[in-house]
Amino acid sequence: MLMNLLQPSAGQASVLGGDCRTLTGDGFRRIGYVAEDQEQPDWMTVGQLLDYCRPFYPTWDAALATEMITRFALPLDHKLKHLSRGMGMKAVLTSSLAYRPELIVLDEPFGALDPLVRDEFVESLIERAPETTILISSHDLAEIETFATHIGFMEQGRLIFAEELESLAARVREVEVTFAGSAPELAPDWPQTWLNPQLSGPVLRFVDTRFIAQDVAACFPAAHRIDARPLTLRDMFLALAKANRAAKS
Amino acid sequence: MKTHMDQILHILQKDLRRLRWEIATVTFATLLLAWLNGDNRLVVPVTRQEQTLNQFCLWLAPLNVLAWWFLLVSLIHGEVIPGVRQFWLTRPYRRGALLGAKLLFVLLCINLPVLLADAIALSRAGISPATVWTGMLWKQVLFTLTALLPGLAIAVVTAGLAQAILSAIGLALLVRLLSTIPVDNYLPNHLEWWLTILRLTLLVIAAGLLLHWQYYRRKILLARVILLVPVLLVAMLGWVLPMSTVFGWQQSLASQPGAGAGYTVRPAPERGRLKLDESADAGFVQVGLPLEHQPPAGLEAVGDSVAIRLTPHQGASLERTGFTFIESEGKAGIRFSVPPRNSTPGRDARCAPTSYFTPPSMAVAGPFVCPTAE
Repeated sequence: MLMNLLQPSAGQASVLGGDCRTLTGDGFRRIGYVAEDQEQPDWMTVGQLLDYCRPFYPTWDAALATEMITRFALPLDHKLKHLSRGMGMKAVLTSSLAYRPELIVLDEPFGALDPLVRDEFVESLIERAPETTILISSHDLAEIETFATHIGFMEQGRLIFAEELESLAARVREVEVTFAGSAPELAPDWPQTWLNPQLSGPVLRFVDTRFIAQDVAACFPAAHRIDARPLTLRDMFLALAKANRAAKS
Repeated sequence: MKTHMDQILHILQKDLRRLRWEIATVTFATLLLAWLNGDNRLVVPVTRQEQTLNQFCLWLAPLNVLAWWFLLVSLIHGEVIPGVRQFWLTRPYRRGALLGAKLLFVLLCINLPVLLADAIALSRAGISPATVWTGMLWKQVLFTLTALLPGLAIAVVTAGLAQAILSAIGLALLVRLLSTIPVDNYLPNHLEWWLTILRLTLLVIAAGLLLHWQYYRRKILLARVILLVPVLLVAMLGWVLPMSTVFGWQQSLASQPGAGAGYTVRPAPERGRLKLDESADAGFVQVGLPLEHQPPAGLEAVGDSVAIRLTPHQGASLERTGFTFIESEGKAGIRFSVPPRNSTPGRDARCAPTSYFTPPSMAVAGPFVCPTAE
């Protein structure tokens, strides 16, 4: 939708300062888009693809293209349809980065890539980071976590939150409260920001999406011990998704 | 690429490279067919070799048309319009340049070879193309409007060759099906061209809208509706277009619209009944209308271009064409059949007929209406 491929039924979004619904033609000179399932002109060789793309972009950097070709060991005379998935993605990435776009949008870029190709892929992206904004849409949260600076969480077309990874990691914690005896019954006025509570003997576990240690301690004066540990992106996603599903049901 | 033209040429170059083998094959077939078609000996083949070549041409001609159509669809599907996964959608393609590149390709790789083929066929047949170049260009215009534009329209709403073929077959079947529905609205032969022009205009407008709509807006569902509506309209136009309206259009084109007023036609019941045709269609009622007519000098009424509107005192009015002028036993008139719902068998009907005559040559005088007495 951000790339104006789909029309929104409601709401709005802007890309590089303009309404995404008006994004077309020359607007894409500033954007590099790579998607796992995008159809490419498979009849072209890698060299032909790059030659074909070059005149579209006034900012095409031939030296950068050559550097990426060398780094990715791209076979210029091979047709795209004869390349492996990883090599195909590298060729498309090269054609999308060589003009130094201001915004790079990657839609599920890591699917079906082997670890080595993933590393090379991510490395190339990180090198571009100082001069460009990189937006990655992915379910591969473990991969994203290694280099993302900001995280947005979308569920069923709604943006649940968007913030820096650092602040997200600080505020979303898995809290484990250990009581001397059995854990008390959960109060009806249980805060909405405490998700997925689980009672297991004297231990109560939940995910706090607005973690403040003093607040938690104040709620459990009888607690023997309170531990809070950061969650991985994957665990955060699971906790949020489970809580949303439970709320709906 | 600073200008639209730069981008048009860049995309064109890419399409020429991609489809070079297809272009070469189809152009060769077209020129070969033209070469053979221009051979006068194949018109009436005598020798075994001539008969074989004649058969070859008969096979090659439809294949050639299909090949052009395949090339056209392949061209458009180089940048498929429906869908969200195409490479070109997220590249700096100017939509106008993309459309321009495709049209330029059609001009260079389809129109030009066909024009060249026509020139070859004419030359081989002993006619200098230079003497008929306007006709050749006009043929290209009609070829583009009637054959290429609908092909383009189908290609821009489909996402693959199979889809395009199925859509074309589906639309052709739909038109065929609709045309089999019996209707009671016939145009005189001399007015049929209006129907053709209207149908063509509808198709051209719809195809033009589709191309514009798809390349600039990409509203796939709406585009498919736009494709279907004119097809339905084209099929139904013949049912709903009143003959008198078309007649009025034709009359307005006449060089001397009033000239026909000198043609007098009046019912002549005092001359007695006309002899009817005993072999008339079962279930239909025959009408014999004695007429007295006096054409002015230089004009001639032609049977198949005459229509009559009968306004009976009871029942619905009726427009009829396709009847026969008869003159027997000194009585002149026209004879035609009327569906049972417009008549009561065995009973005379009193009608106020209005005759529409179309002279054979529009250059002499236009068609005219003769309001006649009851």
